[in-house]
Amino acid sequence: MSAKESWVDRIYNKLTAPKTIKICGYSAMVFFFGAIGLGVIIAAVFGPEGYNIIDNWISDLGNHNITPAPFLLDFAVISAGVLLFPLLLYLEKYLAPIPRVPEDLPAPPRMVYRLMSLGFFFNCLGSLGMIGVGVFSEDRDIADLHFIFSVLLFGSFAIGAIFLGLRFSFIKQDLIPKPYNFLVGLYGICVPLPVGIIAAFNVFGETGIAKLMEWIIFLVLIGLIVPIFVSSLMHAEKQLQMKK
Amino acid sequence: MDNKESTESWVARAYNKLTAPKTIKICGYAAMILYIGLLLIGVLIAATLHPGGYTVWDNWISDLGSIQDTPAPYLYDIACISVGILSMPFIFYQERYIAPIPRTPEELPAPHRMTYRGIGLAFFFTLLGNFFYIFVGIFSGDRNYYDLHNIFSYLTFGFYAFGTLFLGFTLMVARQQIVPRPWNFIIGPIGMVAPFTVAILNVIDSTPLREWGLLWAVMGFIIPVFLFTLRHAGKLEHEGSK
Repeated sequence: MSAKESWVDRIYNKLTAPKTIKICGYSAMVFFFGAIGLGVIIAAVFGPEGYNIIDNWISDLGNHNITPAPFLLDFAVISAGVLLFPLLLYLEKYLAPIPRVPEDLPAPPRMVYRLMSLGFFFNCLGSLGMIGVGVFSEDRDIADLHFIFSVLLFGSFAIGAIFLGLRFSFIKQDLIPKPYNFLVGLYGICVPLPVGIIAAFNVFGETGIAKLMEWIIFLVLIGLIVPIFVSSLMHAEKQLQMKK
Repeated sequence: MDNKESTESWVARAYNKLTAPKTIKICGYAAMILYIGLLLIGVLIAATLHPGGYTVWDNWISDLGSIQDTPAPYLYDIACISVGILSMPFIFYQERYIAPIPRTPEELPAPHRMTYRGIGLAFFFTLLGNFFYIFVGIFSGDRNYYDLHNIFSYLTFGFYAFGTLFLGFTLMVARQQIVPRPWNFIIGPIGMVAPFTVAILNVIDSTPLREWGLLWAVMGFIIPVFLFTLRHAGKLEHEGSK
């Protein structure tokens, strides 16, 4: 069976194996929250002018004029951006399964494939945005690429949240158990995009709370991604146990 | 068959009616005749009967819907509204036959996941493009309240550019029978490159000719795909009648 698989299929199967998901999931959470938390503490304590979420952009954590450890933010977003890809593939694989053998039938409704293709696409763009934000940090901001990737990151995750939210709320799935799927789903549909739009008005309008709003949309997105992440890890754990 | 139909939900019945080959044929021919016919007549009337004349390098497309530039602005409005509505069944049909979902063991194997991804994105962007095109006609140059005409024009062309990008990509990678080989390798790249490139040129600096260029780029991809889809629907209808 596996000898017939193409190298693309073999890579796909490796990437979406429960073991890979567990390794990537835990690594992403430890790297991301560890490096960001440490970055904020170092900037606040050792930065020449201090650091707080009202007067500083998130991106300032990647600026050597504001923090002695700018590499921490770069590392956090690049690693999380890369490690998110297997998780997105895993989510798509289990939330929109494609029947390959008669035992896989019945197939899910068409709407599942539509929602997951959109959710997958926009979240992949968000992950790409994360990597871009880290590569072109404030210290390496060539041709305003840092800002472009930041907009891509927040915009894509906020739009992607709607499609994932619809998928979790209204169509049967076993990744997030009831009734939590309704909470997570409705949160994804109703919260990130409106907050993102308010944040965008503040950032582009250069208001006094623009920097705080950037932190708020960041925390709002974390509030959606973390429960999905944890549920996926639990699902992957179950898959591993079933194999045993 | 009757039993099967009675167990189907009204959504499934509406979907089956909407994607039936007969519906596709009616909508397809009506959309092409109405849109191309009304657009051509609209340009001819504006160019010949309006004192100021009308050219594609001096006038925006939207001028065709303004009483200040043409004595028959309703022609373009009808063209936009009708093509927006009549094109909708097409994307449902393309989605259904390019990325079929197996329901019985006989329908296996299912297409590659990339086919579902591509057609899902094409479906979303094209459907929204069609939807917003209706509003381009409703809020035409003469009824441009709160700049709604321009907003819907940007949305229409933006979504069409993305829609053609993903549909072109899917036609190339999917094993599908709507646009057969080698035509898919000619039409696919046109859809992926032409509308998106001209859209970017319009974002950089928009001129009337560039706006017309964007419409031609979209039509240069959509019309062949439309014709191939009609051919496919004709074949299905023929097989069904046997």
